[in-house]
Amino acid sequence: MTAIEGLVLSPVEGMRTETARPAVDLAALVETYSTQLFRVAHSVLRSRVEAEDVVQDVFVRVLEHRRTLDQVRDMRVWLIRIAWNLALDRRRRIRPDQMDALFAESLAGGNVPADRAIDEAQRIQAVLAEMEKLPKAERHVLLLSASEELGTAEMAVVLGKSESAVRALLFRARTRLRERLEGRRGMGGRR
Amino acid sequence: MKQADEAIDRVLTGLRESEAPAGLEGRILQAMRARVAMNSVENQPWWTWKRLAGCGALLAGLLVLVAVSVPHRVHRVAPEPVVARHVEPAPAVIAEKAAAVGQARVPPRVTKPLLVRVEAASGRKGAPDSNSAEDALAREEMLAPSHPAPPLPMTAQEKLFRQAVIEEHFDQLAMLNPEEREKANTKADDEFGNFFGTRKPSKQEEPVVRDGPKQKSVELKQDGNAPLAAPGASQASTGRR
Repeated sequence: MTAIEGLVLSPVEGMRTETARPAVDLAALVETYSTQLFRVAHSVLRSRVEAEDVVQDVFVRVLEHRRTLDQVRDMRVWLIRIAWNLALDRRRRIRPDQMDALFAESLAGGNVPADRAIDEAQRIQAVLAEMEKLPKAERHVLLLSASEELGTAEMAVVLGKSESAVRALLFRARTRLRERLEGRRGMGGRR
Repeated sequence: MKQADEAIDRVLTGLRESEAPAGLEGRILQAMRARVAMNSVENQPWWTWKRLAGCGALLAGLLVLVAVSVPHRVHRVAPEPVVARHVEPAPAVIAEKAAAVGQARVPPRVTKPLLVRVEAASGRKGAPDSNSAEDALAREEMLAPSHPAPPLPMTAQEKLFRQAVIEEHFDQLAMLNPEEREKANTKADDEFGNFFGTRKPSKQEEPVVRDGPKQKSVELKQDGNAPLAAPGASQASTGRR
């Protein structure tokens, strides 16, 4: 049964047993997780429009798997994993570096002078460019770590790796990125 | 190094704190409602209108197939195997045929064997020989003497046409009727002779001797002109002299 006002999804229609889990309220899922899913998708795509489409696709998948929702242990991680995979899939069609300039300007813009905002935007853009040059596994761990709500164990579930591997990848990613940024600055200082 | 870490943290914080666009939940819920409505239509039971329409189309197709195939089966009678075989005809049959058709048309004697169709199926030998009777009738009709079609009376249209074409026309009547044609010739000769004074005697008037015109013709002949009168007439005139 699917009630659209409450968007209540029962796992299997006509099988309401005592052992069955309670129906899933899709509207509650949307209200609870849409913002977090948007951030996960936005960290990969750096485009608000594309990230919103990804969130919508996530809940479409929820509708498609409504008969097996009772088998989902952690709904939040499951949703983030779907959003993550959908964002990576969409990333093949777009180029996030095209969105980096706009995102950097939005981050740097604030109550600071214009010349300093421009300098800050350039630095942010350089960080984003170096992040794109990182190995894929390190880049993915670094981007997922941007989400505050995700711990190491959850990141491991989303990425399909062990917790220790996630920690090692995260350490290596930060170290490599720092070194590259330092080297970049050094080369700019010499010039 | 510190500046690099600050830059990395700044970017990660910016990604973490990115705000979802306003009305995101509402748009997603609206899309989900549309999706659920579409799914409810798709998940209708099998007797819904789509499946009924499909079954109806399938049934119609089967009916058309049956309607097309049944006439073929009715007309497709098992073909009778026919074998051509030389058979010596019975002399009594030939004589009978000859009497029916006529002595003049029947060949005097059949010495060559005829090619007759005989059913090869042994099980049908006892059945009445309807094919041979039809063949005999066909042969009789083929050998029957041909007669010209009897003259049919003229139709009203034909009569009107004939009347319109030859209605009281002298020349045409003369062309059709020999007596009228003779009368017309005689009349024309008389008119010619009366006009020119050189009357040409017709066959009926040949023995009759007339005075005026004959004398003139004789005179003309004596003048050395071409002989216009008949030889009998000239002799009569000379005899009178």
